[in-house]
Amino acid sequence: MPSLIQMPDVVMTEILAKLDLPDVQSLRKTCWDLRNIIDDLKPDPRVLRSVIIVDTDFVDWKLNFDNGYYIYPEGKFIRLQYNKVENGCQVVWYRSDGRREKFLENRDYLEVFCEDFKVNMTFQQSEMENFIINFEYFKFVHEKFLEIESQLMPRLQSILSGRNPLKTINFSMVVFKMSSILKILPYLDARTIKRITITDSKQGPVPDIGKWRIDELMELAHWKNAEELDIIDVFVEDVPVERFLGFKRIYIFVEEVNMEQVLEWKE
Amino acid sequence: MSVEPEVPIVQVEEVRENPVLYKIISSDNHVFTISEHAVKLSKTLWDLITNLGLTAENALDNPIPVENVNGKNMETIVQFCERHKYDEEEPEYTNYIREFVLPEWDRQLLSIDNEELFQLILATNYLDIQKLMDYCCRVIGDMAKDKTPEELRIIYGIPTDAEDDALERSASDSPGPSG
Repeated sequence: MPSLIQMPDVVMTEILAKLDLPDVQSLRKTCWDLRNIIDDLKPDPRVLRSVIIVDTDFVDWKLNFDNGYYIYPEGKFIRLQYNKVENGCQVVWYRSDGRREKFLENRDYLEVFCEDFKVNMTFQQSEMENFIINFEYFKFVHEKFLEIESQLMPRLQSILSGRNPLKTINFSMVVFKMSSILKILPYLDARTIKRITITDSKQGPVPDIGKWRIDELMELAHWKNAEELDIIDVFVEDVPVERFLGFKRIYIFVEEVNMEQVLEWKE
Repeated sequence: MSVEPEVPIVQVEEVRENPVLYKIISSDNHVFTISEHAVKLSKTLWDLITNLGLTAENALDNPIPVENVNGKNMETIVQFCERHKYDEEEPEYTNYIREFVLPEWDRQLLSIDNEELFQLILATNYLDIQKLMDYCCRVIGDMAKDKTPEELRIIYGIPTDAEDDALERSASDSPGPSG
């Protein structure tokens, strides 16, 4: 008698396309045969928006799949939180029927988040509307933030560079170091990007970080392809105005003289 | 006082109803008749009909044998195709996940046990009926909603890891990557 495992690829593809991301992950864990079938067929989870918020003791990750705001299992919206706790990491899954918690002993919360990010985004092929990373910053824990940045960003960079480029229309990052953006943006698909938003979370100068230079950013194909650019709460250093002429609309703080030029040139 | 012009009342169904009927014989020799609009939902059958050059005149004299589909599945398929023969085409698929609730009539039709459903899917796949495939897979997919791997094993009759391991061991004597 036929069963799920005996279904031809064309049927399996059709079935997998009807499942929500958590259900595909669950099915992947039932047996090796199905895991291999799923990994061969690479069902696209069709994430529409991915929002990652990083703080000193947690990472909050929200995933939208449609324009509804009902949370899984009632709807499709998924929210996960990776908390740094004593002796490990606590993963919280916010659900319509309450929250589920899991404690992972001796695991680093950034590491656990990165593993989840990698697994859940592996098969993402369709174009996202938004890909957002918000890196909080508070002056009084300056050292702590530098440490987190140095642990998280190279990991995300290696995940993103190890796959075909994620497609997103809007890319937004809140950071306190320019270099964080260069660990992410170059690995997104330059062809789909329409809008880039960069916000400085420092809200004022911090001694050993200094003003931003965007030379490297300007060399990216993403910079050339995007139509809109917002650089918010940042004082950018030495920007040749003509480098902005490719955009339909920009918002940026530069030296005062240049700002006037930009306004004049771009109206 | 103006008189309304008399318009003949015609049943829409009458106008649309196509008199051409086709005969299909299932693997266990059950005979079914199906209308032209309905049979068009099956790409396989319609290709066959076109290739055989069947027409309104000779269709009923030339039954089409379908050896891969039994009478039980064929009955469901014929019912489904007759029900959906005048459906409008589905809008183009986008990367948004479509919110879709199976119509009650179809849910009832597909309220059969899993083995039967998988058999129906194989028949549907063979006959290439996109809409029925979509609906069947929807029913299969809905069963997985918010289930643990253990629950899924029971629902879909998936062998456990232990059974799987045993199968793998018996299937191959060569050492695995770790052995």
